[in-house]
Amino acid sequence: MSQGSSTSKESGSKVLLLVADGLCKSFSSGQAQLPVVRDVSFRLAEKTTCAIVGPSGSGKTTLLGLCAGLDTPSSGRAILFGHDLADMSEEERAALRLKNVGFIFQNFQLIPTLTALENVMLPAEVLGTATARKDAMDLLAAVGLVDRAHHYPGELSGGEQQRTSIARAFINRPRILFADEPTGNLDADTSYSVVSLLYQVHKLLGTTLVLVTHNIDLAKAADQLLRMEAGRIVPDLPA
Amino acid sequence: MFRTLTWALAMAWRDSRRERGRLFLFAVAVAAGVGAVVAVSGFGRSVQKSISYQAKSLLGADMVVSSSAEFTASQERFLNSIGGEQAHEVAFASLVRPAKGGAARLVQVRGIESAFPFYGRIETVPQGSLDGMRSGRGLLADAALISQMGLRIGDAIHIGGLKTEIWGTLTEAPGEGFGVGMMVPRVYMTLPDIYRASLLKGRTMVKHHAYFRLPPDTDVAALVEQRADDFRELELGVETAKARELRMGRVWKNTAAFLNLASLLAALLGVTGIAGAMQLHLLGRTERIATLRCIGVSPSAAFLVYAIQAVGVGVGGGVLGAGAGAFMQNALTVVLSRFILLDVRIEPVWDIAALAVAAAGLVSFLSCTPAFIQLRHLSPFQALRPSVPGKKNTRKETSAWAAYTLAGAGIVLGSLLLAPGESWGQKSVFAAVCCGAFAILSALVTAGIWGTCAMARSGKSYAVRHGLANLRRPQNRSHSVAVALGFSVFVICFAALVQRGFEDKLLQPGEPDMSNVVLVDVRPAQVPAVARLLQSMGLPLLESSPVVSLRLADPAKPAKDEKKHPTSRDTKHESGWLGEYKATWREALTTGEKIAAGEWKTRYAGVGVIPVSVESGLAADMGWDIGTRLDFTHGGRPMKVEIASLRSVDWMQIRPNFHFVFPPGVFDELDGSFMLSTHARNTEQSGQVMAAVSREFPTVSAVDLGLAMSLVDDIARSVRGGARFLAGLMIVVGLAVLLASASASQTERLRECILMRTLGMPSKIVKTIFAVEFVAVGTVASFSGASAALGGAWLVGRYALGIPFAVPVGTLVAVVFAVPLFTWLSGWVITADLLKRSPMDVLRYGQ
Repeated sequence: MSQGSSTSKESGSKVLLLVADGLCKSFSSGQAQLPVVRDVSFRLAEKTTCAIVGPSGSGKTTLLGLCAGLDTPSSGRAILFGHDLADMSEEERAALRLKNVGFIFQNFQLIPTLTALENVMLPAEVLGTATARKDAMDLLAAVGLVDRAHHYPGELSGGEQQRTSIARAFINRPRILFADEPTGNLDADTSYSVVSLLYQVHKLLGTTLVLVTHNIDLAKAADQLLRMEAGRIVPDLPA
Repeated sequence: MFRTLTWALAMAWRDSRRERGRLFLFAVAVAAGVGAVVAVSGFGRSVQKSISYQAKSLLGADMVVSSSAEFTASQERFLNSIGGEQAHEVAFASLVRPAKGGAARLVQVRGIESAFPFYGRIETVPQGSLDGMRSGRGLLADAALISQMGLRIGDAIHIGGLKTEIWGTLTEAPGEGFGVGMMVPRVYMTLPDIYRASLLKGRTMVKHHAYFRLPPDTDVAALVEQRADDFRELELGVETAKARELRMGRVWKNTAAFLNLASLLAALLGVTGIAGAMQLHLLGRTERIATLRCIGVSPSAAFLVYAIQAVGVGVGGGVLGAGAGAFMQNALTVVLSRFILLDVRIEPVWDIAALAVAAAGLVSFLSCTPAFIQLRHLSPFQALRPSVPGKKNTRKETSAWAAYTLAGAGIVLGSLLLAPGESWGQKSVFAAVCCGAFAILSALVTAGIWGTCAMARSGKSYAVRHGLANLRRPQNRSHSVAVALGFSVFVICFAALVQRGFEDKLLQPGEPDMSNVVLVDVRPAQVPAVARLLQSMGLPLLESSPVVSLRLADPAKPAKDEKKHPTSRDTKHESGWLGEYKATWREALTTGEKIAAGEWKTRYAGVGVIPVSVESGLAADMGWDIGTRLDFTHGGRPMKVEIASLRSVDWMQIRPNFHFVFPPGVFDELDGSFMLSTHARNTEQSGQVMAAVSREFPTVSAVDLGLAMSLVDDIARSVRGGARFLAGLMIVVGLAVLLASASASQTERLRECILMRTLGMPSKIVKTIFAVEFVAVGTVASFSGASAALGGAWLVGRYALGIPFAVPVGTLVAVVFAVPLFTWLSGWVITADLLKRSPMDVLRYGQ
């Protein structure tokens, strides 16, 4: 079993939110099985940040998906908030994500037929939060988009779409946020502002942050760094 | 649960933004089909209700008793014993001719007593003409007869040997039916006038009716049942208002079957035609659903959002269609007015509309189940990596099969729900015919597309090859579009082919040895003189058939298996129709007859049971077979008869045809009358014959069958108008399916278009490719629909209607060419915008 290598700036006294234990994931490719994640184990404490880096095709996003319960591992366990995700049904995993997990995607994944406000409100509405609209407006104000609240995603720039996506991710006050290359589709200046925003919210709300990124500067700012190659976590090279 | 539902409703509505035009198109396709069902079913019910409401008015009485001879003293005593009020009537066919000269016409003369009708009214123009007629000032005639003879009210007219005056125009009268029974113009006179002028003298084909108004609390059916033996013994037929209602209802139901089937097909086409496009629409939501799942929306809640959209399209289209159908009922009243001579009161049909809406929603949902199953198995991980291959497991594959089974079940269930019929058995037959037609046309379209694509491989022109190959473009829905359009072609062509078959059979002058003018009620002594008259006019005497009236002495007894033929008992007891028959005798079969069973007897020696040949259809209805013995009376003389042979008779052949044919030696020539036939070269000559016969032999009637059948054709045209009306709706369905499918596959088309242009292909070639594709879809639809119509019309003509297979080439060619033109124009509209887009769009689009 390869141990997650890592730099841990936090002490082990904090509550563990996420435990990955020997995670493996393969996809079928014709008759063959294509291993994408191989025997990955690591732990993540609350209110920390973790960056997963590695070249394209190294299994970063797949690992993120397994940890968030978006997919089930071929073997191994992912334990989130003390729940083994493999033991939960789709409905239970969805409920867990709705209340405790936020997502940010590389391609924003805003619903094109909903306005920015409606996109942000969406998870709160599903949860049945009475103040969904107000909370969404507050968040849009926080990310500087209150005047774009009634615009559709197609009418927003890439940076605005990602900020909307961040607002949506935080609407239910999640305990953990998974971000898949959140700056992958943005230019350098916009990337900087998005990253700053993410860290600000993390500090403000204490949300645990798991980032998949190519951006080494962004990764270095994280409390824990996981470097992946060919589906495995490899030791970090000395600086 | 309630919260999830309200959220899903709101989300479904929001998600439909920017797609509402497309969803509306889907709904229009459903609406056109549902509208057809609601219109036809609702109209049918209105007709049935009108028949029911007007049953007594239609008969003009509670009950009518009939005899083919003047009521005898014993019959009169029996009629008087029934009680209530009576009004007598005589009805017979006669020739009328204008006193100022001109062609004679055959009319149905009804001589009535003043008390008739007890229910309903005789409507005339000008009003009050009825009183003038009743006071003996003249007669009332149909407007059609007056205009055809170039007469006006007040003109003198000869009827038989009587010269009288047209006192008014008859517009409506009780005692009439609808359909072919109305093809001969009517003339109303008073009964005393008829007797005074001796118009009945020498006529054998006269019906005597006694109309009854019974006390209000009388159970008419029970009365008829109680006195059934008396009716039988006295050789009287009887029909009640209820029986008339049932008979007219049956006539309508038979005629409405085709319209019902076409409307049901339109509805199924509407719903299933857009099912593919709807599924594409849903599958295009993959990323959105994955995103929803990522942020914690449960699979069932996500499913609910899109299930609401699918059901919404069905229900929305259903509501739209139900509303349109309600209006279209009125249009059908106009279209079918020539056929239905009833005052049809259109009423709201909420239950039919509700059922149609529910069925549309259900079928729309079930036909989308394959897409739902795919979306249900969607991994939220696809929001991160859309290209991730789907999971392959047995459960999913089983679900897919279940989904397709459900989709099929949806179509069958929808057919059953929407099918007309009083029982599930009737509905099942309709549904089976409908699904069968669907399957056949679908197979033809599949073969057509396969053949077209095979042609594409061997084509020389790149544009043609590419355009034809596009029929198999992923998600192109070519098959759905071609099936939907193919059905409209089928309905139009089938109706045209059947009508043409009728026309060829009935309206053509035919060969010189084929009869087209029949002279009835020719007394034996008149035969030589009538033959001489025909000869003097240069006309052949083609047939001379003796006619005798026979009455089944005990009609209930001979039926072997009456349970299998419940209608024959109804008919025997209530209408008396089967109680009396016209029969003939001869040595040989005619060219329109074939022996189906038994042996044709050429002579009766005068000893033993009398052999008879019976028409096979009547024998089947009555449960008779070879060897069955029947008891007839002829002029009060009992006759024991045995069925020696069964004949199939081509009733569509214009000639004197009979249910019973005896061998020579049974009857004396003086026992009855003769029916002669001749061939007139044209309508002018047939008019001359009728005028001469009317003048020389006032009691003989001449029937110009060509002229009479032109009225049948008129009615057929009216029914065909209904078929065209439905075909028009099917074209709307086809257009909506075409546009919906093209809209659903527009993304694929756009990419292809931009890619071709990026690669440097001239717009002209791109346009040609699209044009070839759309024309090919239309052509496959045309040829599939026309082939199905040709095959169907041939089968129906040969085995059901006995009409020749004749192709209205002009109509078929017009339809076959119009549909590809129509699809090409639609395609041109759909793709015009794509050609204006910049090639750079492909890059942006890809991003």
